[in-house]
Amino acid sequence: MLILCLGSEYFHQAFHKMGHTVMAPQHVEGFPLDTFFNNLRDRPDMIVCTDHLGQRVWADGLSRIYGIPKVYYAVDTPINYWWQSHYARLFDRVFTDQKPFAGELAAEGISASWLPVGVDAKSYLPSPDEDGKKIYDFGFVGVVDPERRAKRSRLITTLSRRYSLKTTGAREEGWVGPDESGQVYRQSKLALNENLFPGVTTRMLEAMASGAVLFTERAGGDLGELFKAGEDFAWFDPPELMDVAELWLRDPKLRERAAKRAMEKVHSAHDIQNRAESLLSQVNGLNPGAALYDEDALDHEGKFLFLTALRWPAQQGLARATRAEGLLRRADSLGTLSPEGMFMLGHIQRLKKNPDEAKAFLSRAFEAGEPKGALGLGILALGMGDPKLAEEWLAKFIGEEGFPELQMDTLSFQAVKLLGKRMLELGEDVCPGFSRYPHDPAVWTAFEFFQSAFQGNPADAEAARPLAGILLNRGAVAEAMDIAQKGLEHNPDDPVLGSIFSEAGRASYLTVN
Amino acid sequence: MEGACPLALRRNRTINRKDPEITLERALGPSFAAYRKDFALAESFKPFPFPLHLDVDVTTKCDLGCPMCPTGARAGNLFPGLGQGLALPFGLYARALSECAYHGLPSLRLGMSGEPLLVQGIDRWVSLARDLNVTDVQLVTNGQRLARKTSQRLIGAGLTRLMVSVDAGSPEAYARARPGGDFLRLLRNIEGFLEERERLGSLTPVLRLSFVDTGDGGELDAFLALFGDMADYVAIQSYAPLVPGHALGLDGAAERLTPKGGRCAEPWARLAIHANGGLFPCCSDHGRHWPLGFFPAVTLKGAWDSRMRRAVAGMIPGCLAHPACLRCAGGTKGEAVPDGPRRAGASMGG
Repeated sequence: MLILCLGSEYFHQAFHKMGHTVMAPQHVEGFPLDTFFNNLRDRPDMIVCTDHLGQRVWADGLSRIYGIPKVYYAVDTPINYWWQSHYARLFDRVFTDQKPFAGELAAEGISASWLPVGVDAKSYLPSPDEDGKKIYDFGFVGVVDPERRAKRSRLITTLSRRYSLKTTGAREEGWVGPDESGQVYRQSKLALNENLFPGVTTRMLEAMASGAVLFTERAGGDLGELFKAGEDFAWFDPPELMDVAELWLRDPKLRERAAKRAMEKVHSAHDIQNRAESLLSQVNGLNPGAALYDEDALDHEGKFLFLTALRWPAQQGLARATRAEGLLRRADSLGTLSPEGMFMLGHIQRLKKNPDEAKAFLSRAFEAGEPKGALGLGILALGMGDPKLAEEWLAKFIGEEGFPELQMDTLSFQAVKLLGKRMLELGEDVCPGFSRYPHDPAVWTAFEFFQSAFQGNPADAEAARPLAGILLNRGAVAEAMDIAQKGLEHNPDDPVLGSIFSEAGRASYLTVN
Repeated sequence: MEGACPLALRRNRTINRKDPEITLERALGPSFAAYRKDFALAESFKPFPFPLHLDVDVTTKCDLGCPMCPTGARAGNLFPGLGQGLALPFGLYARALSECAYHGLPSLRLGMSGEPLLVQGIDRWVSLARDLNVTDVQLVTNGQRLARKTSQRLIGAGLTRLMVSVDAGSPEAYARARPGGDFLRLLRNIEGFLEERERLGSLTPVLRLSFVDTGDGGELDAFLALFGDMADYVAIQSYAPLVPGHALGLDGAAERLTPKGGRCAEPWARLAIHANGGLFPCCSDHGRHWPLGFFPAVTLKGAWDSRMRRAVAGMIPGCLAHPACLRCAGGTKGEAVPDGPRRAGASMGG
């Protein structure tokens, strides 16, 4: 088969090994893929796109390529789903690296299934001159930064109080290759894993591929579908951290059995090769026709470009927003522009300082059922020095008769809390992995609004409670605990903050001795 | 009537003034000849891995009220999906076409139960099919909206066959057969189309004018006299009544369709997609009660490979004839058909 691969090179070698030919055009932002495709002498049999979240470039014209099955592997879905869900519409078949998001896509009518990450297992094999001696109780590979990874830091600190623990892979040390990371894992009795988000990650598989015993937080049970807890690896909930650690550290035979089983499993069934074979077997006989084309795709393509421009403004953000505008305008001319697309077009016009067009699109968005249209109009009015008009629109956004008085071009603390509450009602609590705080409030989620209120007044429990609650619900337990703690300093008897503090404390290893 | 298919032509009479196949081969190249050869093989019951022809029910809306047609006769209650003014979304058509392009579909017809020229931008439907290498792109119309500009656009889009249903040789007969239509406008439109085609120096689309023979020999003669020389080919079709109690007369005058060798070749060569996305093994309205599935939940390939389609085609030994086929071959006796799918027998599957 001739496979046109877009994005990362993740599957290239594996496809080659299977006897397929891989064609990979150079990654250039806005590359006109359809023009390239239509001028090919040899027509590919399939397109496979794997997210390259390092380079973050996307070709144009995918929706104008007909007659060929298109497959998408969405990576790091817990923190990227919010834009991947639009990009996925351009494909006939989608795979997600984390299981719950395959379900979410399927619920939207997209043919999607889970394809866990794999690793290049053989690159983690021990070198012949290794003596197999265990030097450390625990080994960890990854960034350890109390500011950016508070829960991870606390976990490591907690274990370090009683056990020997080797860490490597801090950003300033540079990227750690399989040789070094594998060695750290093998020199440790237990290879520690802490989850940024739940699910199966490459660190887990790398540790097992190295011949180490994985010791991981339970958070999210998908690993249990691939390996057997207690036999292939160890997992723990925060309150039982030390008991489970002690159990495994005291039993070398248990560790040896687990390490051997897990290593065999990873090498035989969880290599990138296995994933490539699984992907191709699942798309064998795939017919094009599930993906959206041309005018049907414009709205989703435009939204995906807008959202990725928002996420990575420094990487061709302006060019991407311009492309988004073009696609959304075309969708509008064909009558296929969604209310959300209208809102995005309105926001782009605001950024381009076209207030009249911005007003037109934002009004249409609101009338078509997108409440954020009113938010955009309110922020626009405020920016143009018309607080009264801003109050009117923001009142419409929150669905109330009136809105607290606004001064000049600023949002009061009361105002941001109301806006945050409304965003919570709309289900936009936070954008995982990405703070929209540097951006215009018109594109904030509830998190940014409450963050703004809390930063302005940490004594305000009405800001602290929802902010801590959002963080706790999303698994940012250390951050939730910090907010709750600060809130409790001013409101020591607040039951909600107290409850969040306790729960978050337990989950972030604060209460582990 | 609208919806008459190449197979019906074969069972009826075709009068070729200038051989359309030669013209089309000259215009379209060897791929046309190859597909026609395959089509003939399919009609001789050779199995193919994918249909050779797709009928696309662009819309169920029509601007005429032809009594012999379930749409025009407003007999939508008899046939699911008709009479509801449905339109196949362009996006769905594009997706189906993408699958067709993947499998190399050579032939497609726009128009089944309604009037495709009611769809704005229908030339885009034609050009997309041609861009995706569909060799023979046909459109069937009542011709009332075939203005010069429309003709221009269809010619420019690469339409290969334009099939206009006339069914009369005089204004009076036209008014009976096609209520709501203007015979003189039709005549002007056909003349306009021919002039445009010549002006643009295009060999295609070839023009087929058709006449449904209800037994009034005089009208047929008038039709041939007026339109015979205009068309590239003329089709005289037997009337197979679909609507019970139709006043044009149902007995005797209608030539019964006798399937060759006891089987119908339609499900060996074609698939139809209705305006509601339903997939069917032929273009007969009788089959509307028994979809093979709905696109895109069921792919075209999936429908083609389905047990039901193969059973209808008679590919599964021991399978009973499908009730839709019995009605189609024998002509309706004016029975109302209940809603919902029915199984003819345990062996039908699907």
